[in-house]
Amino acid sequence: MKGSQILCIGFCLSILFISGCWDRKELNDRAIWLATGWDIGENGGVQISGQIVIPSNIQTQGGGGGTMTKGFFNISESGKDFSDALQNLQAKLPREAFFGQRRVVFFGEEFAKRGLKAELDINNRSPDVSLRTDVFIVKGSTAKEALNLANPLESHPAVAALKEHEQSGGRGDTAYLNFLIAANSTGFRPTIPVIEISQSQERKHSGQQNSANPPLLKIAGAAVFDENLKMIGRLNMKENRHLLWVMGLLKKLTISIPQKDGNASIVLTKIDSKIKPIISKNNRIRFTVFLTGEGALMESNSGVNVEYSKNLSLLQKSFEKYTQKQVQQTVTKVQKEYGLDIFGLGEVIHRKHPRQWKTLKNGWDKKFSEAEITVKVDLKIKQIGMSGPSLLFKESEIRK
Amino acid sequence: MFRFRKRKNKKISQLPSNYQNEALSSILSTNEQMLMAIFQNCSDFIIRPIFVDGETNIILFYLDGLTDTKTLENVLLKPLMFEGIPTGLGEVHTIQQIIEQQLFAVTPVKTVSNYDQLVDGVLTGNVGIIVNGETTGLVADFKRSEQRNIEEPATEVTIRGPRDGFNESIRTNTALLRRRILSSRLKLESLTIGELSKTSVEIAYIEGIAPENLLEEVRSRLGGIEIDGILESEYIEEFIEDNPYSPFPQIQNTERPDIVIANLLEGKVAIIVDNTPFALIVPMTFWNGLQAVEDYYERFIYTSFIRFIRYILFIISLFLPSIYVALTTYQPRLIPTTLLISVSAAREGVPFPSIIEALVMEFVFEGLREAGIRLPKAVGSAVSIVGALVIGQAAVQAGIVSAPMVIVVATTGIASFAIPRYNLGTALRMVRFAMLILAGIFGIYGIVIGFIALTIHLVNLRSFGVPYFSPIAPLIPGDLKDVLIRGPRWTFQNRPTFIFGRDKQRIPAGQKPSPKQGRDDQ
Repeated sequence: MKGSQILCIGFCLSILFISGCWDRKELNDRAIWLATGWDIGENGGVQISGQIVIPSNIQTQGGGGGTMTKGFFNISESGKDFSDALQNLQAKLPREAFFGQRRVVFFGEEFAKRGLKAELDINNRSPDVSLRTDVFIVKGSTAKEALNLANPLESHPAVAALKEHEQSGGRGDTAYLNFLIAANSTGFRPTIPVIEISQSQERKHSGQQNSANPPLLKIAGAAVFDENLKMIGRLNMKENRHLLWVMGLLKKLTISIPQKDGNASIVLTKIDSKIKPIISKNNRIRFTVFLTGEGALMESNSGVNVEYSKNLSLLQKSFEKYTQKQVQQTVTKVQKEYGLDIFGLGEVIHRKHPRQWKTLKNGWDKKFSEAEITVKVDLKIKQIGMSGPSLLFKESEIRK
Repeated sequence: MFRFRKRKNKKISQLPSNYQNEALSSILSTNEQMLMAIFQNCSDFIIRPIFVDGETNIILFYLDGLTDTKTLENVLLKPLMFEGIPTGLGEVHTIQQIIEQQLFAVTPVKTVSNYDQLVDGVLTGNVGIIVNGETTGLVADFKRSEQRNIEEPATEVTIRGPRDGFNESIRTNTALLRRRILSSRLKLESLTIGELSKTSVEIAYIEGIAPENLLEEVRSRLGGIEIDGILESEYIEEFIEDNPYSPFPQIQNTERPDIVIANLLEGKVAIIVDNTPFALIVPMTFWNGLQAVEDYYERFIYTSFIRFIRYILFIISLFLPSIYVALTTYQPRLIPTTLLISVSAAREGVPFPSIIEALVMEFVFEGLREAGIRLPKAVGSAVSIVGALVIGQAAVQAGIVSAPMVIVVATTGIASFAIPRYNLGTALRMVRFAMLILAGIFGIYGIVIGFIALTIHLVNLRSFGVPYFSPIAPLIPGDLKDVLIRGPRWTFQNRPTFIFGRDKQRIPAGQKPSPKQGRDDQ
């Protein structure tokens, strides 16, 4: 009894000394890798760029003042694939690259056009990385360039890109997951948000990085991918919003309509969509897309007094009509120009009519481009703000 | 050691070997010789012959300091010496009878017939009286003990609630209890523990409410104690605990009579020990350790809220440093990006791994706390200044310790002080070190393993047969209203069922106040 007890304690204690702390790694020994950039490398390989935090340049204590030093630096190296490139890259990195906090992935446009299918396994296989990642195609440039653009507000440009994406009502850090789901299913073609290098002030050549008009990253639509994950084309920002709305991912949207005597704008905050597929007997497919939104009236530059419900519903109607036309245009453009089901309508059939889907899924993209898609919009203005008519109009000019 | 014992035996051997049971002699001088021999080398032993009728007829003896000599003089000496032996009403009285029946009006008097009883009586502060020619002696109660005033207990302070606390005199303490329960159902069973100290111990309970089997258990466990002396109730606690190797206290102690009474009303049993203000209460549950007196003296909504805060602080005090170490060294993925960046910025340049940093800081904190308690009050504040300056600021500025670690250790320290029972807090502090080491070796897995082991241990503990985690494990839904929250008092209709007693009902139903009730009555 006594002997076995001592033996037991001995075993327990030995754990303390022989465990060796496998993956124990101090923060000071890790290079926090915030963003990855993928570009075409030498000899058909990949070029990996990374954005790494410089902890000692992050101000932890108030005061201090002085000039702001950059809180990050970028590093890049080529290789046959990611791991090979990383090995080359680690040769100039004194700390082990730590991917657990990688928030953003950038792809150069050329790289995306070459196809992503044979490259990205590292992003899902490693237990260290998170799938909650934002992902962008850098329009007309390389990922390496995009990483270099410091943001004046955020200490890390990668975080800035992510926040811009969230602010614009987009997918945010679910973008990569979204891409994976689409890449994995038969009735859904992936899209990836597009970012471009822009300038702070419109129509003005951007100055130096720390001037008043620095170059900035700007969300600029979405890239359309085909079944082999090759980038085929691009949607602009407006079309991107419509795409997200149909997919039910949009979080925020401003609609402005031209009126006879002045524009009006609403900001929608409660946005939803519902897709109803109808398969007729001769396998003709029809979709009805119900788009709903609730929001506040932001601007009404005409003399309409929206305190009267009649006027408000008229205004609502014209918003609905305008929006319906716009979204319908986008849907038609996608059908005609790309012929790729980036809305995921095939998956809707898959969910609702799993039996029919078995026959439909072969050559779905062709069927998608021939399908009849009707968009219906239902908007509600819940708040009209502080005044009925615009205060800039005289009493006599106000329409009741 | 052996030699010492031998010498001691030799000394006593001057006395007859079994003097204890020997009956008193009728010859006064023999008795006197005997007593002198028993109390040899006791400078506080006072023996005083009194001459009545011209010869030594009576001998008084007592221990100086334990006896109220002034009263003794007034009641006994003056009448005897100045007025002589009062003449009886006709019957022939022995002097003893006269003393016993005529002189002592209120003072309790006991007649004893052997040395043992006589000596015991004197040792507890009584005055012994022997009379020439008689084989019985008297033990008269003239006790006077020096005692502290009744003060507010320093360890259990309240904002609202009674301010009296126990002191070192057991009679005062039992009086404080009796004053609160004016019923003969409050029982105080007296016993003596300690070969030499002969400390009086009282088992307090309320008849009918305290379960009989619990009482039996308390009596038998107390009866089994054999020890030379008892200086504090902790001595007893260690003998009657269920699991002596657990770091967690299984017996509650308190300085407050109101806490004792509140527990007696729930069916528990208190053990009051002489010469210490700390009474023991059995059985104790884990949740008792997290309940403060004030929980019952403030409105229930507020105290429920405070209890939640206390539970969160409890978890913080147990896990925060280990979680910090585990997350920063093993699972930095789990920290939000911006937080991780600022933590890593703060850790930049710190030469130690964070587990060492945490252990050192915790060690220093414990040292500061210990020094603060032991030092005289005037110096104590100096310790805190030095501690705050040296550890709080200088260490961070010198880059030896990171600022987040100081925050973590300080938060943990504060959290551990928010636990109402001091000895539960100390248990948690020790467990915290174990957790810290586990976290340093295995990361989050270590914390989980530690937590599971701790839970298994706690659930297995018993305090006088009551599971330590009741009423959560085993779950007794009816008793939960005084665990996670403190329900309104009119909902405490029954006594807690995990302590089974006969008299279950506490408050009749239907006492929830509502204005409508009043209107109906009128």
